[in-house]
Amino acid sequence: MKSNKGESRRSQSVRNIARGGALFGGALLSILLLVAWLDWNWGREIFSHICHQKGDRCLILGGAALPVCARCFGIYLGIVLGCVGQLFLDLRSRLTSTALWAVAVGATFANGLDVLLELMHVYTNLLSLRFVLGLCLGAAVALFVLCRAITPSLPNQNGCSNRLPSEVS
Amino acid sequence: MTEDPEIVNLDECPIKPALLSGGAVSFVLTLFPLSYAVCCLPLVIGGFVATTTFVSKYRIRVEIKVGMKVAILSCLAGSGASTTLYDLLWVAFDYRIGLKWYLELLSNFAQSAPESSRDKLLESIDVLKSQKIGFGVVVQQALTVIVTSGIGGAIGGAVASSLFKKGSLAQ
Repeated sequence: MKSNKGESRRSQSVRNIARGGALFGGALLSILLLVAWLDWNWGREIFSHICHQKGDRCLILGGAALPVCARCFGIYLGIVLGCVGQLFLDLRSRLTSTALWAVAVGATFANGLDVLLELMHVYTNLLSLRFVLGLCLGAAVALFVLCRAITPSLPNQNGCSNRLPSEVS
Repeated sequence: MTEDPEIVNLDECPIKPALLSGGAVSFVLTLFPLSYAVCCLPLVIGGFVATTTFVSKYRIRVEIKVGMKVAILSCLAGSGASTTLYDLLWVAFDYRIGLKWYLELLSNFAQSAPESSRDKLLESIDVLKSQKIGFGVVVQQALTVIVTSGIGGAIGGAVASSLFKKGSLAQ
């Protein structure tokens, strides 16, 4: 009974984190889309400190470029999709730790390789590839964080004590 | 999966050392306009360092919200301090850190950019050159520090808190 209660509280805690991530991420995406749609220079200037904003590397919305590049936008969208995926599909109980590591490392490596190949002029400015790789990285990071999240413990749970460090020593 | 049986009181783990280390990294990495080349990575690294310092110093594991809080606060401190120093040098000596390098970078971008975005880039170079510090600029910088620290710190702190899972649970 206690175990079920603990499990339920843990899963509720992860759901809350995923909900928060989806909400904040969604708000950020909305702001980015609004800044592009209204062609708001002030907003563009704020986001210039977290992205290079090279025009040819940004997705275009209604004739105006987004204030962050395709990879950054993909990462933010990926984080939101990862959080939504956890909310509705409960991926925490389905994905193993090995799978999470493999996906996270794979997505990071793929993005690094893309940057390297561009620097070596193997290909130039593949906007859709950059967006998709960013999307994969964002989703992978969100799932990695949510599925490995440390959740609060129930007081006096089996095997736990509420002793403080001073009492322990 | 077994859990460490002890629970540590979070109030007994001051975040000052973590703020100092994460803030120092954020300060150094945001002082120069690196973000134009590596996006929010400097602040993600700063936040990651802060939360890692926090969990390793007290040998604890923390919930995501705690890791994110420590990381965001350290990023705010670090990038806030670098912005303040930038403004002080701007006001006192009319010198802007990294501006020359940034203008060169933008000019290079403009040369290789398609015609549609070239004009906008050239326009932004002119705006940057003629920009004067004032209330509007300071408000914009404050918003920038909050937004960038929020994004970078949240990502760095969340990753660090889910990566290090050894030690007593602090709550």
